[in-house]
Amino acid sequence: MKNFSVTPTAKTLAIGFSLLALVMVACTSADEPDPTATSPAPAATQAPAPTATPEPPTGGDTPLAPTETPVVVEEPTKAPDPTVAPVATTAPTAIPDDPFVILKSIIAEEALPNNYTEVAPGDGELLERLFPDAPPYAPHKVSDIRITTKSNKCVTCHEGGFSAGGSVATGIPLSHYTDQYTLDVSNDLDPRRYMCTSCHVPQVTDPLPWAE
Amino acid sequence: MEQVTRRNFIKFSSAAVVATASTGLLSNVTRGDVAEEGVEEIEGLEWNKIPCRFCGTGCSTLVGTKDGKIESVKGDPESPVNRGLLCVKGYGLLKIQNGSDRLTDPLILATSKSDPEPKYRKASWSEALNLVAEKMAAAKAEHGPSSVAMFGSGQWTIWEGYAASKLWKGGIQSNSIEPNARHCMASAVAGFATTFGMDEPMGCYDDFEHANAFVLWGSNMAEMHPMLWARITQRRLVETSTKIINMTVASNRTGEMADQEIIFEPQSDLAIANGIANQIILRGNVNHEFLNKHAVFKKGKLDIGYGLEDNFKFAEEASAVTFEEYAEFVSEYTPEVVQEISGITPQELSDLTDVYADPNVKVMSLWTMGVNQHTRGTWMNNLIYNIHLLVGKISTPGNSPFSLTGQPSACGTAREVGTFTHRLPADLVVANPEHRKFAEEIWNIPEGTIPAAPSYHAVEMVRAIDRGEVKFFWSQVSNPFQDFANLNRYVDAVKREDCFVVASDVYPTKTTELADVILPTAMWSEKEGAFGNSERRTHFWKQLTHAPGQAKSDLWQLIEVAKRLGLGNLFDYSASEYPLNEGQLHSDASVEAGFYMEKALWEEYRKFGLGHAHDLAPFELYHQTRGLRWPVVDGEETKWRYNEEYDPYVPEGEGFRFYGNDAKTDGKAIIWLRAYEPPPEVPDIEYPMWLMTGRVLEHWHSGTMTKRVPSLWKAYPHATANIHPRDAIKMDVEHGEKIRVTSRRGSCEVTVDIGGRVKPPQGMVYVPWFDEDVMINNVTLDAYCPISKQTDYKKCAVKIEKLS
Repeated sequence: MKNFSVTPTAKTLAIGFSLLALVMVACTSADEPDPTATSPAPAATQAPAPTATPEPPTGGDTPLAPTETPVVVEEPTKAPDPTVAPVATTAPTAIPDDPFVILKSIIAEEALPNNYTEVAPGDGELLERLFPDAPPYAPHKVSDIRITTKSNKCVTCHEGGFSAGGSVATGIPLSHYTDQYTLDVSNDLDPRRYMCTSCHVPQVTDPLPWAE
Repeated sequence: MEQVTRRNFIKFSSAAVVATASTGLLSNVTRGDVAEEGVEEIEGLEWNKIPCRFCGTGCSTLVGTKDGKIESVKGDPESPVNRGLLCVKGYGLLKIQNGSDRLTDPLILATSKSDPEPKYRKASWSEALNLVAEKMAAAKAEHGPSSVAMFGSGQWTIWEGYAASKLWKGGIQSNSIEPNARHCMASAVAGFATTFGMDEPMGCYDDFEHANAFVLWGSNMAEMHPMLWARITQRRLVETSTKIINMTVASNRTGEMADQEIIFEPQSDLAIANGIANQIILRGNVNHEFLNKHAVFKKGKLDIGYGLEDNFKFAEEASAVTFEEYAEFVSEYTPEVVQEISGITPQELSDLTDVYADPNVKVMSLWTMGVNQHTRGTWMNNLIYNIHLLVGKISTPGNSPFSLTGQPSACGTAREVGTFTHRLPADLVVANPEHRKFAEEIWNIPEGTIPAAPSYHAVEMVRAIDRGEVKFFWSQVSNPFQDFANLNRYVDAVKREDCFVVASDVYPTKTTELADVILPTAMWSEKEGAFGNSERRTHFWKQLTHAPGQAKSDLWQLIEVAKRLGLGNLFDYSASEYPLNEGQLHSDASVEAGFYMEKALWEEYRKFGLGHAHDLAPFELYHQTRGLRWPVVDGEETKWRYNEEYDPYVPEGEGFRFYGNDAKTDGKAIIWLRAYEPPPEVPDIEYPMWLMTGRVLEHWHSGTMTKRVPSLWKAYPHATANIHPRDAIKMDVEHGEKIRVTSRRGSCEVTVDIGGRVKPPQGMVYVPWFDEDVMINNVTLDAYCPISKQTDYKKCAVKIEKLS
């Protein structure tokens, strides 16, 4: 695993298992009676008070349901204080077999600046899509494009593949002119697809700090 | 321009449509080709339906898998919701499960939580779950059941939320269970409950194709519900007389497509809504016939507070009033008074009144967080219903006050299952002894098991951690330590380490950073699921892929912990009644149990709603359809509730009946007298600006999933602070420079965006909260609506400093 550099050693497993043994003991002593364990008909005295106030422990006699899978516990070598023992075993010198995991969030690794492309429409290079069926990105600046009921500059250029300065805008696909139910193809863009920016988004120019 | 080919056409169309397409049709096409050079179709995919993992719209997607891996995602053409379309986040679904930092092993904290680089050790599931169960049992034994808390969300599948609720309320006997939907939809729920006595919208998405006017109240639909916005856009462009009015405190992308954008002062929507009601009365457009039959008037408490104090309590005191008293109450909201409070002109108020008052206009009101995340959120919901009720524009096609949800199953799980401290499934509540008894019978547990008193709503839950009352806190499908307001207090509380924190998640988050145990979790296509969307549509999916490593579903985790607490019987169903299906990829929970766990839970859950207007269909029907809108009676869904023509629960001859209020008002809706009251914190000399928070199109909530999708992250890498150009000049900051936003509670550093999509007026800064590097919730205020207990994330006072 990329984020987990080293696997636990036998030593930590032993520590783990000793903790587990402690856990099991605590679990047994502190459990509550199972309200579903026997017949649903309750004796009034058995029914817990319907209140949110704290209740004292009542010391149930069946800590684990019969369906519980028995936990296989190896013989613990010792039972160290769980709050300090693991720390104590990670001396800086022990890095080669450091049994511990440091969680690395890939999104926190490195800041990615908000440097969207300033390339004008018509000058952008096509970007590879997220996957073949995904909508293509806008490889040019879109921040000053407003889509209103009266004007849609995206459509103005991309309808039919507008040609400007030697480059051709990616044409709006046939699917965007096809009625979903009748399959009739219209000369007008499917009005549900009018908000181009719901799907076609720009990308920042810096690469991601992690492999895609 | 390349000639269109059949292959290219297939690429951009849905499989189902193509199956019936004729080549004759295609040969007539002269439109430009679409494909880029080198974009190849993937061969040999198996397509299955699965609802989108993100917002409350509830789009259905088709997921193409090959060799157990998702290779493609498309809009589902058979879905009545999105009809083959998806937004950019929907396409991003392909990558949400594959981030290289996916959590794959249970982890136990080995260092201190205050350690800047906490270390964990891998554990077996047995060890991790034993530890979790032990801590729960110990907390309950030493501090009482309420000290054991669960925090989930509207992103739980329905059976996960149901299992969590059953385990907590019927097993552990703790009402300390809340969803993050409390931050999102609680005011909508309280609005429905107080006005109609029953949660969720009466209308449905079909209203989009019937309405002639759309009024958006604090809802940037173009970014937050893009596929519903596509339907409104279609309506607007096809029926050119349709009018869209965008009511907002900051200009936004929705406003670009609107015919009119009305900018008002934060909190002043209360005055505007009362002003519209006043104008309707003065113009003589009240539908008295409808009112006399179907509505009553009530007055509640005023000056109700803001929930800023620990242990804040509120109890409504309602009294009946007459129409005349109501008319007098709203008569104070003259156009001049409304203008003074809100800044909108008398003409704008008149324009708004027109669409509601004109009997020939069918109007939809739509709202999300602007109305719900509001210290008077319940009131604002009530006030929108008041307007629709006054003119009788409700529960008919196109006449629809419609509260949009934020999360994929905020309705299905949080609200319908009732994973709140005070609730039980199907609108039942723990405070009602009959309701508890009913639940105890269905759950086959002793009478008196479910505690009668609610314990902590979400904000109180984290305050109770700080006070040392909550000793165990388990987060599933949420990221509370990025999403609570006034976070510093609660993060500090958790770091004191007297509360044991468990985080079930798919990636490292701000919450896993504070967890004692991290449980690697299966998600979306890695489990069988059910969501309920904004229009009461319940929809299902089957498991399609395996979770990586040791990751297990939330459902499996809950049941395994239940077993360790001696509560395994809560989830012990009959293998002969619910056998596994041969050839189906069953979830870890079902495989572990040896029977069809999801089906068993569903069939038990739906007993809560059958016969009292929350009817859900049998399990299999949902796998065969693209979802059904409840109540589903005799296999038929219900499009418009409370209307005799569509709703089988309305008695013949009544026309309309708001039967949620049968017991309270003989089936009449309640028009509430709700005043304008100012927000708890307003800009002053020291903190001179408003802060508003929210979302962006490309990211979902705290960004845990969407920031792992390259296309989405690169489309919106970091949260920015959007400010007005004049404020920028005043503060001597330029686009792209860093500022510090500071409130009385905390601060965060963020890059300035001038002229971005959200364009606040002078005196306001907008910062979205998806970015864990821009922790804006250290700045926000944890004031809430006293009725709904929903936090107001939209308003607090801040100052801005330029960072040199």
